[in-house]
Amino acid sequence: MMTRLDRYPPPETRLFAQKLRNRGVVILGLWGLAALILYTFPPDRPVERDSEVDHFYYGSIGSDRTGGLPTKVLLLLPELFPEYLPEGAPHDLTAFGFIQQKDERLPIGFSIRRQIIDRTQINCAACHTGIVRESADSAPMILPGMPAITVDLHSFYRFLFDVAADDRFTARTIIDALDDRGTLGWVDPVVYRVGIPIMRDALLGRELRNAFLFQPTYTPFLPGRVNTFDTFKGDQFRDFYAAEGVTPDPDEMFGIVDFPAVWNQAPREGMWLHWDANQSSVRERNFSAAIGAGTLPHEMDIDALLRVEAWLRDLPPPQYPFAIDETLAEKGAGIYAARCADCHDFGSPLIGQAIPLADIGTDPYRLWSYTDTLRRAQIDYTSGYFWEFQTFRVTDGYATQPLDGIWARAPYLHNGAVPSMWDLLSPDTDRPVAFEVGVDIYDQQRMGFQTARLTPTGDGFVTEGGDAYTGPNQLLDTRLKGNPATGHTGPRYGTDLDHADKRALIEYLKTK
Amino acid sequence: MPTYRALAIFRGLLFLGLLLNAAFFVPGLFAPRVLEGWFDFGITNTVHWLQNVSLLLIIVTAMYIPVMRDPFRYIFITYLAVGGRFAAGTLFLWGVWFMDYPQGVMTLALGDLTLSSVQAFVLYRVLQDGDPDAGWS
Repeated sequence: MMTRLDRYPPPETRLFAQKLRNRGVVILGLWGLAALILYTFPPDRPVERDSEVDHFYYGSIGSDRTGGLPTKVLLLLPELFPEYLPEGAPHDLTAFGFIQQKDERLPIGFSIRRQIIDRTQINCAACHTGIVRESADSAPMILPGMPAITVDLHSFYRFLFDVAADDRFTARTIIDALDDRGTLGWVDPVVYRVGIPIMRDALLGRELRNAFLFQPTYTPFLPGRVNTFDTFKGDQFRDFYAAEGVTPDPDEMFGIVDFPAVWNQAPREGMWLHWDANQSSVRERNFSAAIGAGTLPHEMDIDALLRVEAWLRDLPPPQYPFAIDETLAEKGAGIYAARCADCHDFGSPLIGQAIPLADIGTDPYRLWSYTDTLRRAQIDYTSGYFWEFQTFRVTDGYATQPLDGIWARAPYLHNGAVPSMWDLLSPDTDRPVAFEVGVDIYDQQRMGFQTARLTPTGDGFVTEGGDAYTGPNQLLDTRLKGNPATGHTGPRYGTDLDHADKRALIEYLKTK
Repeated sequence: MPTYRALAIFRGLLFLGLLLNAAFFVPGLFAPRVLEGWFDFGITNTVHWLQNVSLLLIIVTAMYIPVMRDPFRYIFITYLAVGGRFAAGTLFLWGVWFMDYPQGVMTLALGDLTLSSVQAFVLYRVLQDGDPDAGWS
């Protein structure tokens, strides 16, 4: 047979085979080594949880991708800079009301994402997990989906910004402190020398963009509340506002609201949502909240968010954990049907509708906060994503809310300015001018939390007993901008009920 | 005299790879959201990169055709066809393990790593058998 000179002869192809085998072995060795390195220093691996509730508590939503703070550093800062913590607070993240579970590295509401080092940022549960105690001596019940009544984001970010502005916040300080505690990893010094200046600059930049929140005249969020939309205007949407030539009106910057509950979402799909009924998609609402938590649109952890969405659809509202007077509740059911059901029952004609401000009479600042410019900025910011915002609108009032789990949603009204259901069923002129917030001990009589009700006097407050208030808690002062407890008052809203009927109605509402 | 059975098997394995690639790039190009719905591959924010990847995969897959016809003549592309699939499988596996890829991508990882490993072993036998068109007896 003639040989073909343009083809490889068998000795040569056998040599190829030998090379293929040898190189294959080398490649497999390198493959294993690379896998080991990536396992030790993963480029982007969120710490995942098997159970749905733990995923809600500790899973990443994407906010930790580029906005994550080094986990070790975040845990260290309250120890290193206690002077910036709220007075008398413990030197850890519970200083800001975050809920720490036993055997967990971080409080509920913080995810960890491994990017060579561990990085951390808040997730949905930070604002939507609450605690309830029967008494000062009893163990707290942790309720996923409940408003985070103890969490003070304002103080938390104030703390981070104060630390970032402190000259002692350097890589050297952090490295030495970790070394002293025996928790310094061998890669940490390298990463922190680069990372700490970046972290400091990022925090100071964020502070600058949100400087309005920290003016002395600005109404503090206090535990259990947040400014939902106004931070977007100078931060995430600043380019849009600049391009439009719009400077937000000072009066539209006080949209401070009570954290809402997020359980039982399935029947809410298609209803008008948010405090002012400004959109009707549960998914859009979730993604909007994720942006609020610091997630960039292209960094959304889609699968993680959809997992949370699916779980919240069927998360039942928590059962009232204390005794209910069934006879009284039965009486209250009739009162509820006559006075409340038209606006507050799922399926009722008015559920989820915006009640015009002129009718409801509650504080207008949250309503003024959501403007058409903001709506267009949201659409621009999310355009092109499969979850892009399409249902947002500007309304003229506040939404009628379903009352599932209402017992665990105190304080009441959109701004959390009414401490209990008893007060909400009282004329607004009779409601407390000020009261403690961040208290987790339940008030079974009034359906709220056991907060001291205070009256202003001079430059302070006195209790119902006439003593000067010297307690440890922060106070919600309804005289401040965005805080009034006005509205939802008059016969239409049940504030004309006598004490016996109010008691009965409250007893029934405990069953919702 | 070798039977060159390994060569026939190798061609078959390349054709199988072509079919598997087509199962990805056809829906990837024309119905990307349908593709995302399979196996929990993960949902992309926008589909344009997925469509772009599908187009590139078509170009890559087109190169299988000359390799199937004559793997010795296009020996570099032959190596690339096997090595490229192994690299893709590695990316998918490491993506799931270390880079927050959705769990469904593990299906792609295992498919590509298995197929490319078998292809590499058969290619080794093909090279040992030699080129049937070289005319050496």
